[in-house]
Amino acid sequence: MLIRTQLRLAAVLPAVLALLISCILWSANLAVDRAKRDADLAETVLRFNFELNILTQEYVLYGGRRIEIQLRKRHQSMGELLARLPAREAEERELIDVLKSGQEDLGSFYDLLLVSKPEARQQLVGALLVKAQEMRAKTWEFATIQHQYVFEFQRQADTIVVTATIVLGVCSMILMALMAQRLVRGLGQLEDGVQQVAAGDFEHQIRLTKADELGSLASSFNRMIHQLRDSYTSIDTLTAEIVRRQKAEAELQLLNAELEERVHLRTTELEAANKELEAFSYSVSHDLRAPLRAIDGFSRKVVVNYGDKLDDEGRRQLQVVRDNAQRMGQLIDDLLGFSRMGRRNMARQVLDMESQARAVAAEQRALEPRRSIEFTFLPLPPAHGDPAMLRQVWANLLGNSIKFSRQRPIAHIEVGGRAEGGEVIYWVKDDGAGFDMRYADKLFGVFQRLHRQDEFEGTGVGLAIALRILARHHGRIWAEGHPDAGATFWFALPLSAQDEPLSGEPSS
Amino acid sequence: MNANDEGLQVLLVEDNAADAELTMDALRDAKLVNHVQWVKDGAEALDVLFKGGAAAAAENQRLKLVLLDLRLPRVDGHEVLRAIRADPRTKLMPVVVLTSSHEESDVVRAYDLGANSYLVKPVESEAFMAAVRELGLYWMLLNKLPGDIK
Repeated sequence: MLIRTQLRLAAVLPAVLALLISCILWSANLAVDRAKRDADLAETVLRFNFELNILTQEYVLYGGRRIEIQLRKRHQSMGELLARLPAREAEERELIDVLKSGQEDLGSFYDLLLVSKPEARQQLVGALLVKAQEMRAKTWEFATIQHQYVFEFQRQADTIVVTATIVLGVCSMILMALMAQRLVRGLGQLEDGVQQVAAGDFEHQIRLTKADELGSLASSFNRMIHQLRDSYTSIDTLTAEIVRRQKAEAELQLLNAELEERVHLRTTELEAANKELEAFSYSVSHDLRAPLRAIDGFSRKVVVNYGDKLDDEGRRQLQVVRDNAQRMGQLIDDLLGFSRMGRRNMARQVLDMESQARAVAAEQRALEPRRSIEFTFLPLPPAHGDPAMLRQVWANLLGNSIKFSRQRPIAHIEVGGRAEGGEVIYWVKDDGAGFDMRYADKLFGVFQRLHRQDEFEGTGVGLAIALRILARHHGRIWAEGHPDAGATFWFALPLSAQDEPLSGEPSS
Repeated sequence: MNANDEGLQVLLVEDNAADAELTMDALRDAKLVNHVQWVKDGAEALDVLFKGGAAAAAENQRLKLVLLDLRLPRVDGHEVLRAIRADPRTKLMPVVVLTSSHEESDVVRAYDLGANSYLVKPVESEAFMAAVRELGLYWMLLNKLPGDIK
């Protein structure tokens, strides 16, 4: 039962008892009132009895019609009063019966008295008085009984009130004690549970299965502990996760540090390698060319100083020596140029590709004044890159187009470009010797050539340099051609500038 | 200006005998100089310029041209150039760097140290001869030094 209901019952019980007591008191009062009224009636009867006695005396002394009427009226009134007297107990009923018969006797006496002669009256009066005396005694007795009733009812009412109060008090105390016991026990269990949980035992369950507020409090508390445990579990999981991540981060930092160290080491190694490469290039450029210069120079001296002692074949053979020395010199120069292109610093700027291409074409054309070349320049979008390097690309591509179209009476070279898909694409198209697409992959290799030296001179480095320059610009280069049907070379540069890769180590 | 003036006129600093011979051939062919002294390294060059008898040094310090290779044994060309420019007696002396090096850094360093010119020796001998001839013509005949104009 809910504590709220219990408390309500405990409050209602005294009210019910009080109502009961009030009812009892009320009915007791009614009984007392009734008994008092009956006593009053009896006393009125007594008074009427006295008055009848007096009227009888008066009638005997004086006679007369007036007294006679009064006697009759009073006797009648007394009869009416007697008829109203209640008869609750046998004793009362008996008294009332006696009184009623006495009344009738009195009536008979009065009838006799009123018709009797005065001399017979004295005897009648005596009987009347005796009868009246008798009736008074009975009436008094009746009144006494009524007074006893009053007293008795009042005492009964007092007893009931006292008893009811005592019962009420005892009941309330018992009820309160029971409730208090229940409450205290429930609260005690709750307190124990809370203390256990407070001490950190999240597995504890309060075993309180009462169907009252304490029971629901206990189950709510259990639910709360369950949720608390869940959240603690998730906090634990979270903490574990945080620890795991911190560890991972620390490991990552360590790895990063190691990586940085390795990068640093590699950079140092790379720098050392670069320095070695520079030293090597320097040696090549300086020391390898000197012997070639000597070969060529002294071959020439032989021809100049001893030419008259040589025949044509001797002079031709010396010329072969010189040609090859010169060619090797050219190879070395080109190779060094290629090497430098990979090492030199890059400048980044927006370039007017059209004017650059036109300028390079004009320079190259000036080298071939006897040739008939028709250039077509389509509008070229600007590019972002190193001016000298991209100028080199134009020079190599346009130089190739001019060189490989030399067998045409009128060579046609078209230069064009467009922006497309995040990059700018340029092309140089000629109607020259072209090439076989089967060997297209060899075009951009160092010293790779698709034509014989006696057809078209060259060292096979130009396109390799172009490829390297475009690689450093994050661009690309490709070509399409057909034997004797011309070639088209495309190169593409990204629209937005990017950082160049590590290969761009600065040369000292 | 007389190309046949007595005394040392050109100092050739060159460790490569073939290059030295070809260079001297070219200068002689152009009939520009009578007196070319060839030294094989930087230390020797400094000896010719600053050591020996005071009179000899003073004579040598009136050179019309120093042809200086960069890569030299013992004291390299840059050091020689630095020494020439550091000495008040020789700091105005024309020094032409004649080298095989295409290296940008060498060019920059040479000019930085006060080279008057920088020539890369061509491999092809006609071009080499022409280059030496032309530089000789320029420095021996056309160029004016302090004291030349009287």
